[in-house]
Amino acid sequence: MIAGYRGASTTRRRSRDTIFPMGIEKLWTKSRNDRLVDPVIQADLDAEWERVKQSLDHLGDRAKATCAAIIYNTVARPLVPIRHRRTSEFAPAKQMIAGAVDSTTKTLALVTHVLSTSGRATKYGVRRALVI
Amino acid sequence: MTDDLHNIDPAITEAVLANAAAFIDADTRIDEIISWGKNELKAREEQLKAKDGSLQDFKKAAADIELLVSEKLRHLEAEVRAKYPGDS
Repeated sequence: MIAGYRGASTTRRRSRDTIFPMGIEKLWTKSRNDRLVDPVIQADLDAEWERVKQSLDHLGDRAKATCAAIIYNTVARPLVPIRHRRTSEFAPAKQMIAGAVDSTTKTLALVTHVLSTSGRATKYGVRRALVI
Repeated sequence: MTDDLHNIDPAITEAVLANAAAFIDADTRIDEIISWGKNELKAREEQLKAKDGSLQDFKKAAADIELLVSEKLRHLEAEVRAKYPGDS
Protein backbone atom coordinates (compact mmCIF):
# COMPACT_ATOMS: atom_id res chain seq x y z
CA MET A 1 0.00 0.00 0.00
CA ILE A 2 1.22 3.51 -0.78
CA ALA A 3 2.06 5.37 2.40
CA GLY A 4 -0.37 8.13 3.26
CA TYR A 5 -2.88 7.19 0.53
CA ARG A 6 -5.59 5.92 2.83
CA GLY A 7 -5.28 8.91 5.16
CA ALA A 8 -5.53 11.47 2.35
CA SER A 9 -8.62 9.85 0.92
CA THR A 10 -10.38 9.76 4.29
CA THR A 11 -9.61 13.43 4.91
CA ARG A 12 -11.06 14.48 1.56
CA ARG A 13 -14.24 12.50 2.11
CA ARG A 14 -14.68 13.91 5.60
CA SER A 15 -14.45 17.54 4.47
CA ARG A 16 -16.95 16.96 1.66
CA ASP A 17 -19.35 15.24 4.03
CA THR A 18 -19.19 18.30 6.29
CA ILE A 19 -20.43 20.53 3.47
CA PHE A 20 -23.06 18.05 2.20
CA PRO A 21 -24.16 16.03 5.22
CA MET A 22 -26.28 13.62 3.16
CA GLY A 23 -23.45 12.94 0.65
CA ILE A 24 -23.13 14.75 -2.64
CA GLU A 25 -24.23 11.77 -4.73
CA LYS A 26 -27.43 11.47 -2.77
CA LEU A 27 -28.00 15.21 -3.07
CA TRP A 28 -27.68 15.08 -6.84
CA THR A 29 -30.01 12.11 -7.04
CA LYS A 30 -32.53 13.87 -4.84
CA SER A 31 -32.53 17.03 -6.95
CA ARG A 32 -32.85 14.96 -10.10
CA ASN A 33 -35.76 13.02 -8.69
CA ASP A 34 -37.37 16.26 -7.59
CA ARG A 35 -37.09 17.55 -11.14
CA LEU A 36 -38.48 14.35 -12.61
CA VAL A 37 -41.68 14.65 -10.57
CA ASP A 38 -41.97 18.42 -11.08
CA PRO A 39 -45.37 18.84 -12.78
CA VAL A 40 -44.22 21.83 -14.86
CA ILE A 41 -41.20 19.97 -16.28
CA GLN A 42 -43.30 16.85 -16.77
CA ALA A 43 -45.92 18.89 -18.67
CA ASP A 44 -43.21 20.40 -20.91
CA LEU A 45 -41.82 16.95 -21.55
CA ASP A 46 -45.27 15.58 -22.39
CA ALA A 47 -45.94 18.50 -24.72
CA GLU A 48 -42.64 17.92 -26.51
CA TRP A 49 -43.41 14.20 -26.80
CA GLU A 50 -46.82 14.99 -28.31
CA ARG A 51 -45.25 17.41 -30.79
CA VAL A 52 -42.63 14.86 -31.88
CA LYS A 53 -45.20 12.06 -32.21
CA GLN A 54 -47.43 14.24 -34.40
CA SER A 55 -44.46 15.34 -36.45
CA LEU A 56 -43.28 11.74 -37.03
CA ASP A 57 -46.82 10.59 -37.89
CA HIS A 58 -47.13 13.47 -40.34
CA LEU A 59 -43.81 12.53 -41.95
CA GLY A 60 -45.01 8.91 -42.23
CA ASP A 61 -48.35 9.87 -43.79
CA ARG A 62 -46.63 12.13 -46.29
CA ALA A 63 -44.15 9.40 -47.24
CA LYS A 64 -47.00 6.90 -47.69
CA ALA A 65 -48.89 9.29 -49.96
CA THR A 66 -45.72 9.96 -51.98
CA CYS A 67 -44.89 6.26 -52.36
CA ALA A 68 -48.50 5.44 -53.32
CA ALA A 69 -48.41 8.22 -55.92
CA ILE A 70 -45.04 7.07 -57.30
CA ILE A 71 -46.22 3.46 -57.71
CA TYR A 72 -49.63 4.48 -58.98
CA ASN A 73 -48.20 6.87 -61.55
CA THR A 74 -45.99 4.12 -62.94
CA VAL A 75 -48.31 1.12 -62.95
CA ALA A 76 -51.79 2.56 -63.37
CA ARG A 77 -51.54 6.15 -64.50
CA PRO A 78 -50.66 5.24 -68.11
CA LEU A 79 -53.99 3.39 -68.26
CA VAL A 80 -56.01 6.43 -67.26
CA PRO A 81 -56.80 8.76 -70.12
CA ILE A 82 -57.07 12.21 -68.62
CA ARG A 83 -57.87 15.04 -70.93
CA HIS A 84 -57.57 18.73 -70.32
CA ARG A 85 -60.95 20.36 -70.09
CA ARG A 86 -60.28 22.84 -72.89
CA THR A 87 -57.62 21.38 -75.17
CA SER A 88 -58.61 17.70 -74.91
CA GLU A 89 -54.88 16.90 -74.81
CA PHE A 90 -53.64 14.25 -72.42
CA ALA A 91 -52.60 15.67 -69.11
CA PRO A 92 -48.97 15.33 -68.04
CA ALA A 93 -48.10 12.16 -66.18
CA LYS A 94 -47.60 14.06 -62.93
CA GLN A 95 -51.29 14.88 -62.75
CA MET A 96 -53.33 12.27 -60.97
CA ILE A 97 -57.06 11.88 -61.15
CA ALA A 98 -58.82 12.99 -58.01
CA GLY A 99 -59.14 10.20 -55.49
CA ALA A 100 -56.97 7.81 -57.48
CA VAL A 101 -54.69 7.09 -54.56
CA ASP A 102 -57.69 6.73 -52.25
CA SER A 103 -59.32 4.22 -54.57
CA THR A 104 -56.05 2.37 -54.95
CA THR A 105 -55.55 2.16 -51.22
CA LYS A 106 -59.13 1.01 -50.67
CA THR A 107 -58.74 -1.69 -53.30
CA LEU A 108 -55.54 -2.87 -51.69
CA ALA A 109 -57.09 -2.81 -48.25
CA LEU A 110 -59.91 -5.05 -49.40
CA VAL A 111 -57.65 -7.42 -51.30
CA THR A 112 -55.10 -7.74 -48.50
CA HIS A 113 -57.94 -8.31 -46.04
CA VAL A 114 -59.31 -11.14 -48.19
CA LEU A 115 -55.84 -12.63 -48.63
CA SER A 116 -55.11 -12.43 -44.91
CA THR A 117 -58.39 -13.92 -43.76
CA SER A 118 -58.20 -16.73 -46.29
CA GLY A 119 -54.65 -17.58 -45.22
CA ARG A 120 -53.07 -16.76 -48.57
CA ALA A 121 -51.20 -13.67 -47.46
CA THR A 122 -47.82 -15.40 -47.22
CA LYS A 123 -48.17 -16.88 -50.67
CA TYR A 124 -48.52 -13.41 -52.16
CA GLY A 125 -45.86 -11.82 -49.98
CA VAL A 126 -48.36 -9.75 -47.99
CA ARG A 127 -47.03 -9.20 -44.49
CA ARG A 128 -50.12 -7.54 -43.08
CA ALA A 129 -53.40 -6.10 -44.28
CA LEU A 130 -53.72 -2.36 -44.82
CA VAL A 131 -56.11 -0.66 -42.45
CA ILE A 132 -58.28 2.17 -43.73
CA MET B 1 -65.66 -0.21 -49.77
CA THR B 2 -67.03 -2.64 -52.38
CA ASP B 3 -68.98 0.25 -53.95
CA ASP B 4 -65.70 2.06 -54.44
CA LEU B 5 -64.30 -1.00 -56.17
CA HIS B 6 -67.04 -0.90 -58.83
CA ASN B 7 -65.97 2.61 -59.78
CA ILE B 8 -62.44 1.55 -60.66
CA ASP B 9 -61.49 0.54 -64.16
CA PRO B 10 -60.68 -3.23 -64.07
CA ALA B 11 -57.45 -2.63 -66.01
CA ILE B 12 -56.29 -0.19 -63.34
CA THR B 13 -57.28 -2.54 -60.53
CA GLU B 14 -55.33 -5.33 -62.21
CA ALA B 15 -52.24 -3.15 -62.66
CA VAL B 16 -52.40 -2.01 -59.07
CA LEU B 17 -52.94 -5.52 -57.73
CA ALA B 18 -49.95 -6.75 -59.70
CA ASN B 19 -47.93 -4.31 -57.62
CA ALA B 20 -49.75 -4.84 -54.33
CA ALA B 21 -46.61 -6.20 -52.68
CA ALA B 22 -44.77 -2.95 -53.44
CA PHE B 23 -47.54 -0.87 -51.85
CA ILE B 24 -47.66 -3.06 -48.76
CA ASP B 25 -43.89 -3.21 -48.48
CA ALA B 26 -43.52 0.58 -48.64
CA ASP B 27 -46.34 1.01 -46.12
CA THR B 28 -44.78 -1.51 -43.71
CA ARG B 29 -41.29 -0.04 -44.02
CA ILE B 30 -42.59 3.48 -43.36
CA ASP B 31 -44.39 2.24 -40.24
CA GLU B 32 -41.17 0.55 -39.12
CA ILE B 33 -39.17 3.76 -39.57
CA ILE B 34 -41.71 5.78 -37.57
CA SER B 35 -41.73 3.16 -34.78
CA TRP B 36 -37.92 3.19 -34.78
CA GLY B 37 -37.97 6.97 -34.33
CA LYS B 38 -40.38 6.79 -31.40
CA ASN B 39 -38.44 3.97 -29.72
CA GLU B 40 -35.16 5.80 -30.23
CA LEU B 41 -36.57 8.93 -28.63
CA LYS B 42 -37.86 6.90 -25.68
CA ALA B 43 -34.39 5.41 -25.22
CA ARG B 44 -32.78 8.87 -25.40
CA GLU B 45 -35.27 10.15 -22.84
CA GLU B 46 -34.32 7.36 -20.45
CA GLN B 47 -30.62 8.07 -21.02
CA LEU B 48 -31.11 11.77 -20.35
CA LYS B 49 -33.07 11.06 -17.17
CA ALA B 50 -30.28 8.78 -15.94
CA LYS B 51 -27.64 11.38 -16.79
CA ASP B 52 -29.65 14.24 -15.27
CA GLY B 53 -30.20 15.87 -18.67
CA SER B 54 -32.35 18.94 -19.20
CA LEU B 55 -35.48 19.52 -21.24
CA GLN B 56 -33.33 21.36 -23.79
CA ASP B 57 -31.24 18.21 -24.20
CA PHE B 58 -34.41 16.25 -24.84
CA LYS B 59 -35.60 18.78 -27.42
CA LYS B 60 -32.24 18.56 -29.18
CA ALA B 61 -32.43 14.76 -29.19
CA ALA B 62 -35.97 14.98 -30.58
CA ALA B 63 -34.84 17.30 -33.38
CA ASP B 64 -31.96 14.93 -34.23
CA ILE B 65 -34.32 11.97 -34.42
CA GLU B 66 -36.82 13.87 -36.57
CA LEU B 67 -33.99 14.63 -38.96
CA LEU B 68 -32.84 10.99 -39.01
CA VAL B 69 -36.39 9.72 -39.65
CA SER B 70 -36.85 12.30 -42.38
CA GLU B 71 -33.62 11.16 -44.06
CA LYS B 72 -34.60 7.49 -43.82
CA LEU B 73 -38.00 8.25 -45.38
CA ARG B 74 -36.39 10.28 -48.17
CA HIS B 75 -34.05 7.35 -48.84
CA LEU B 76 -37.02 4.97 -48.99
CA GLU B 77 -38.89 7.29 -51.37
CA ALA B 78 -35.81 7.44 -53.61
CA GLU B 79 -35.66 3.64 -53.59
CA VAL B 80 -39.32 3.38 -54.62
CA ARG B 81 -38.81 6.07 -57.26
CA ALA B 82 -35.87 4.14 -58.70
CA LYS B 83 -38.02 1.01 -58.97
CA TYR B 84 -40.98 2.89 -60.42
CA PRO B 85 -39.57 5.61 -62.66
CA GLY B 86 -42.89 6.41 -64.35
CA ASP B 87 -43.60 9.15 -61.84
CA SER B 88 -40.75 11.38 -62.97
